[in-house]
Order: sequence, then structure tokens, then C-alpha cells
Amino acid sequence: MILDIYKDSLEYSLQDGKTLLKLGLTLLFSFLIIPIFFVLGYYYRVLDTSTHGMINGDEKLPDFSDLTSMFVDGLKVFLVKLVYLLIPIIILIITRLIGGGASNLNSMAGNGIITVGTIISIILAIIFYFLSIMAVANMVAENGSIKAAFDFKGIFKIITNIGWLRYIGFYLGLIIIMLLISIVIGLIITLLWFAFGLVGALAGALGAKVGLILGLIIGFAVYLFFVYPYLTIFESRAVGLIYEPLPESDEQ
Amino acid sequence: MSVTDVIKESLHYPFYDKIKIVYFGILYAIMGICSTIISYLISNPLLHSNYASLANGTENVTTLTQSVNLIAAQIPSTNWYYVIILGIIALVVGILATGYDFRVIKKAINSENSLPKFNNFISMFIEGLKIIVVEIIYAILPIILLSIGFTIIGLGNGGSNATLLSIGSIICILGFLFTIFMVLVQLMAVNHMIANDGKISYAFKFKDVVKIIGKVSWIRYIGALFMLVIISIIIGFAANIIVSFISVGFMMLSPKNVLLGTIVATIIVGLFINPFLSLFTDRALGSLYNERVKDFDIDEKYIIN
Amino acid sequence: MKTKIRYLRQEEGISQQDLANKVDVTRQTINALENSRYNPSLILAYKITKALNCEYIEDVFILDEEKTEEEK
Repeated sequence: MILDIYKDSLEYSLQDGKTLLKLGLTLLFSFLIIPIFFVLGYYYRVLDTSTHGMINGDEKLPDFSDLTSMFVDGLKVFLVKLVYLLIPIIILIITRLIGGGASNLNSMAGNGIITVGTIISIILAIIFYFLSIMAVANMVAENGSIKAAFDFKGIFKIITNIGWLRYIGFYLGLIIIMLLISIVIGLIITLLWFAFGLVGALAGALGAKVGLILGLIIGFAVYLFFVYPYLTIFESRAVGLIYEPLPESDEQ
Repeated sequence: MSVTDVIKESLHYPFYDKIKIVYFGILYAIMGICSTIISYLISNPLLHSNYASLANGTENVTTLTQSVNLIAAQIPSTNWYYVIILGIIALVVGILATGYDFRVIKKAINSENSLPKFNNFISMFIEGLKIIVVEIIYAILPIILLSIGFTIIGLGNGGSNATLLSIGSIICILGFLFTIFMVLVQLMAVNHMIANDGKISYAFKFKDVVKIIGKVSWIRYIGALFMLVIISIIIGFAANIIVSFISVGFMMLSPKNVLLGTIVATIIVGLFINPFLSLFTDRALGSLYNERVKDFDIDEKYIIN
Repeated sequence: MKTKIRYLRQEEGISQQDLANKVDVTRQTINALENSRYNPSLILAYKITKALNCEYIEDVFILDEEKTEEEK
């Protein structure tokens, strides 16, 4: 089934080039901060479609209407992820403070506390990251209820239902796929880049420079306008499909 | 309605009537221009070498009042007239703007989807005054508490008296928490006043107001206000970025006219961003007041055209 | 795709895990099928139909007629 999820998500995100362009355009303006939340809002919408949809279903990509809703939804995703990230950070800070204070008594103990604390917070950060993904999915599936994002018991049950190892393996698989896509496209772009440079070199040194710069710009554009949006939708779709809501009544 | 829906509807609200935003914005633009010119008038002398003597330490300045008087003396006396006039203009316009806030909140409480009319400036002024009076009175106790705290800290300063220092700090922390609490109540108190025909007495029915917040649920109320703050910060940030581009653009065109560039930027922010944020916030605050009642069927009033 | 899998499975008195073992998939796959979260491959659909002692796929898997009409 997980392979089906990958396949569905790869095809789903490729449905409409115009949508990828729109997302890419939004990303381009992310220095204005507000567009970042539009992208997250679109992530929210794909999650919405996917958590209520089917593997191998024929759902369409969500559209870009009602930007204010997209902004608020994106903001909620951002805040939830932030809180989940904050907890390990706070623990890191606390251990540093305690360790620092303890060093006054016994520097070895102090350093020990800091090291242990740092390792624990890194591990916690990874765990909380995995949790936050399902937390956001749960929130979206429950119509944007923030309570659902912090329903730890429920989220735990959901991941247990999917299977902890299965879930982690699934997400690692996602990462590998995304890396592969990025690397392959990156290689192609680099080859094109060299090609541009060589062709430009036929026109002399200046031509070579122009060619290289053109190649760089095109490479950057392809990445921004196609690859990154594609991967965003891909991840959202996959996460939404593996999410399985808990049954109302007690089933197996 | 869920808090999210309140926020979304409030974000949509300013777009219902793009013309009235600009009217509202004119008030903010005026305030912005006034404060820009005021700071220009006050700061200009500081750039002159008259001030250098103070910087060199050749003047004997031992108290705060002495240094303030010295700085004040550097400012040409004609400027003071302008400063005072501009200040009064800004103050009056500010009260008018608050009056429009009053009307926006009223529309929200009555679940009407249009923007309030921009007329009858006398009553607008009075309505603004009412809100400001409520804000001031709600601020009195917190300010007193905080002042006590800071004074005690000041008394225990120089590390001489650690107990005074800690007592003062505790009082200050309590003071901050108390301030936050009073602000929460005051916002709902203003809603209560507006909902009851603007009678100021309703703003001070403390128990009733706290009960109303309880009906909305404190968590939802604080969550909504939190979202309001964050969204305002984000929009303000983004607006700042755009506006600084504009100012820098102006400065590059005519390096001498930093003032002009700043004023243009202030006008743009004032005409569009400030009114948008105010409309958004007021709409949300008013809608929150309506959340004290649980509707179990879908209300037509909440359906947006 | 809507399915009668849960109903038929309970009639046969077997658990999700049992059915999963019979058709060589994970329990989660059966769960997803029952919750209408998965459009399975034709082969898997046949296997499940057989495993539930039904003769025709249409007895187990229900095509959403209204939706296909809309798409036309």
C-alpha cells in the first residue's frame, strides 16, 4: 500500500503545471513573509483533499481561491509546527542552564549534564518532528481544530494504528524520493548549465559568461517554479494518504 | 463559529468596501504625517553642533531635568508652536479614528456585513472619547501596581537590599500579569458598552464582563487575540518591508529629501495598512462578543455574500 | 471506492489481520479499504473477493455511479 501511496502522490502532484507555477511565484515573493503562509496554506489544502480522499483516487489539485483562508490555515500549520519544535528547544535551554549552574560545583558533572541534555533534545526534536507531521494532518482532518493538533493521545493512537516502524520507514522513504528527485534534476540542470556555457564560449569569453549566467538563472527558475512546489505537494499528498482517522466506535 | 472562522471572516471584512477603507485611512495618514513632522522638528537641532557641547561633556549636567532643558533649549522656539499644533491635530484625528473603531465594533456585534458610515463627526468624536476613557480607567490600577513594584526595586538598588529587590520584582511580575488580565477584560468591556447603546456604565460592570468572557471561553478568547496579534505583526512586517523599498527608492532619487520619502511611506501605510489592520481587529473583537452565545443552527447572519 | 468488505468480513467472522494474511497484504491495507481510502489494483480486488467467498467483484466493491456521471 505504501508503494501505491508514493505512486499516487508522484502522479497527483504532476497534474497541473500552472499550479506549480503559481506556487513557485508565491515562493519567489517569500521575502515579504506573507507568501510563506500562502504556501503553507496550500499544503493545508492538499492535506485536506488527501485526508478525505483515496489512494489511487482521482482528486484534483486544490485551487488558489480565497487567499485569506489560505493565509489563516497556513498560519495555523506554522504555529502548530512551531510549538512542536519549541518543546525540544526549551528542554535544551533548561539543560544548558542547569548544566551551567552545576559546573560551578563540579565542572565534569556540569558538562555531562549539558552533553546528555543536548543529545536528549536532539532525539526529542526528531521524535517531535515526526509527531508534528501527524499532528498537522490530524488538525486538517478534523476541519482545522487546533485541539486536534494537540490531542496527543489521539495522535499516538493514529500512529500506532499505522505502525510506528512503518510510519518512520514511510517518511524516510519519502525523504529519499524527494532527495533523488532533487539530485536528478540538479544533475540535469548542471549539465545544461555546462552546455550553455560551452555554447556561449563559441561566441568568446563574454559569451561564455553570459551563457553560464543564463544557465544559472534557468536552473534556479526550474528549481523554484517546479521542483520545490512539486515536492511540497508530493509530501503533503503522501502524508495525507497515510493518515488514517480513528474510528468513532471501537473497531479492531 | 470557531475561532478560525471568526478570524477568516474578519480578514475578509475590510475588502467589502474599498472606498471606506481609504476614508478611514485618511485619518491615519494625517496622524502619520503629523508625527513624522513632529519628530523631524524635534530631532533636527540634535544634528547641529549646538548639541556638541553636551556630547563633549563641557556642560555641567547633573540631573535628568537639566539635560532635558538643555536639549529643549536647542530647538528653535518657532518649532514648538508647530509641534503643539500638529500634536493637537494628531490627537483629535486619533480620537476620531477610535470613534470609527467604535462603529466597526458595533457593526460586528449587530452582525451587519457593511462598513459603517463615515459621517457625523461629532458623534464619532464622542464615541472615540468613550473608548479612550474606558481604556484609561482600566489602566489606572495596573499602572499603580507596576509603579509600586518599580519604586521598590529602585529603593533596593545598588544591591544593598536584596529582599527589597526580590519583593519589588515579584510585585512587578504580578503587575505585568495583572496588566494583561485587565487588558483582556477591558477589550470585552468596550464590546459590552457598545452592545448596550454606548452607555459607559456598562464598560465598568466588571463581573458581567468577566462572565461574558467565560461564556466565550477564556481559551478561545485568548487564542483569538493571540491570532490577532500575530497576524497584525506579520502584516505590519510585510508592509514595512514594502514601504522601506519605497522610501529607499525616494532617497536614491533625491538624497536631500529623506523627509519626503518618509512622508510618502507614512501616507501609504496610513491610507491602507493601518485602516486594514484596525478594521480586521475591530471586526474580530466585535465578533468575539457574539461568541458568548452558542448557536446550534447555522445563522444567516454569518453567511457572507 | 466504497466496499462491503467490513460487513462481509464480519459475516465470515474473521478479523482484519486474518483477511490481510489471506490476501498477502498488511492489516492497514484492509483497514484503508474498509474506510474507502484506497482504490486497490484489479488483482487485489479479485483476491479479496475470493477470500470473502463471493463470486463477483461487484458484490464486494461498489463503483460510485453518481460520480462517474458527473465526470462525463
